[in-house]
Amino acid sequence: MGEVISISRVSDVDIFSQFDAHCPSIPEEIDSRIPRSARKAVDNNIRSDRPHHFRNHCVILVVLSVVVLAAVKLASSAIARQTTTGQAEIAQSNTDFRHHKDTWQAQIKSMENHPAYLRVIEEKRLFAQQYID
Amino acid sequence: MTAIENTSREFSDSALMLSYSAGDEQGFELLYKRHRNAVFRFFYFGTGGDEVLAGELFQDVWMTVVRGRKRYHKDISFTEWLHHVAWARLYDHIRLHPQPLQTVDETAPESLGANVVTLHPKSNGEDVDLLEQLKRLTEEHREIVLLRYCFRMSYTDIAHFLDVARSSVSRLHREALVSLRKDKSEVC
Repeated sequence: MGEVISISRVSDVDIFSQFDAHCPSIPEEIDSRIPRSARKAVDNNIRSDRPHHFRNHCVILVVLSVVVLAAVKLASSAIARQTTTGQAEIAQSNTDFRHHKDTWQAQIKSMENHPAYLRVIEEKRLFAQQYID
Repeated sequence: MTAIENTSREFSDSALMLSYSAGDEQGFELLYKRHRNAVFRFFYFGTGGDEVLAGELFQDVWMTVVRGRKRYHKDISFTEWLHHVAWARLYDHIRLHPQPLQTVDETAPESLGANVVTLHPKSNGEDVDLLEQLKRLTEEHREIVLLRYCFRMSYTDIAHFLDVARSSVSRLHREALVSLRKDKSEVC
């Protein structure tokens, strides 16, 4: 107690070696786990860096494909429905669409032979003849 | 000495950390080999010789380095950053899990103006002695001793680290050494 210690005795060279000597070695499990975790973190990073673009492109492609497929499906079902409706109407009216043209032509012919139409034509001819003569 | 260790000497800590943050895992391995003993020593003596706790804190610090690799900037000294991370981790732990106060003999003479704690050596082995001696140091002295002997910092580095004058570091270190020596002479 109360011992006077001169500063010259205060050399810390031996203390460094004491700290080294008395410190146990790092537990092997921890010592191997840390570099492994560091490697894993880098690997994950590389993987997550690369697929960011790749994944985004994949998502866009999938979404676009789904949209296109849905549109095609809707359009084809609508066309099919309309076609079915048209065929049903034709079947109901008992008129073959291939004969439509002939039907119209026949209708026009019958109108040309209509007495009213012939009368109008005759009146127009007589009216025109007045000026010709 | 292995080829890797030879190569590692050619690169600074910052260069290795930057290469690791760029994806070169070998950069980390070299850094780890370079600093692991100092960091573990710091935690071992900082926790009063609790090897398991030291291992946990040691692991936490290196995981912080791994997680912080992207934020690392070349202007930051890696060693200083690592020491700050380790320091913060240890003192966070101490703050959250305070130890019972050491017995202080109020009648003990103060050595060179420092609040030196008296000795009650009970240990048998030298290892325990050193830990016991550290426990009996004042907080200020223990900090200086840990930085000096675990991280092997110079007075200037310690002063910069603790943001105190270099002369204060020198004085506190001297006082800490006197306490440690005094402990030893009394044990003998």
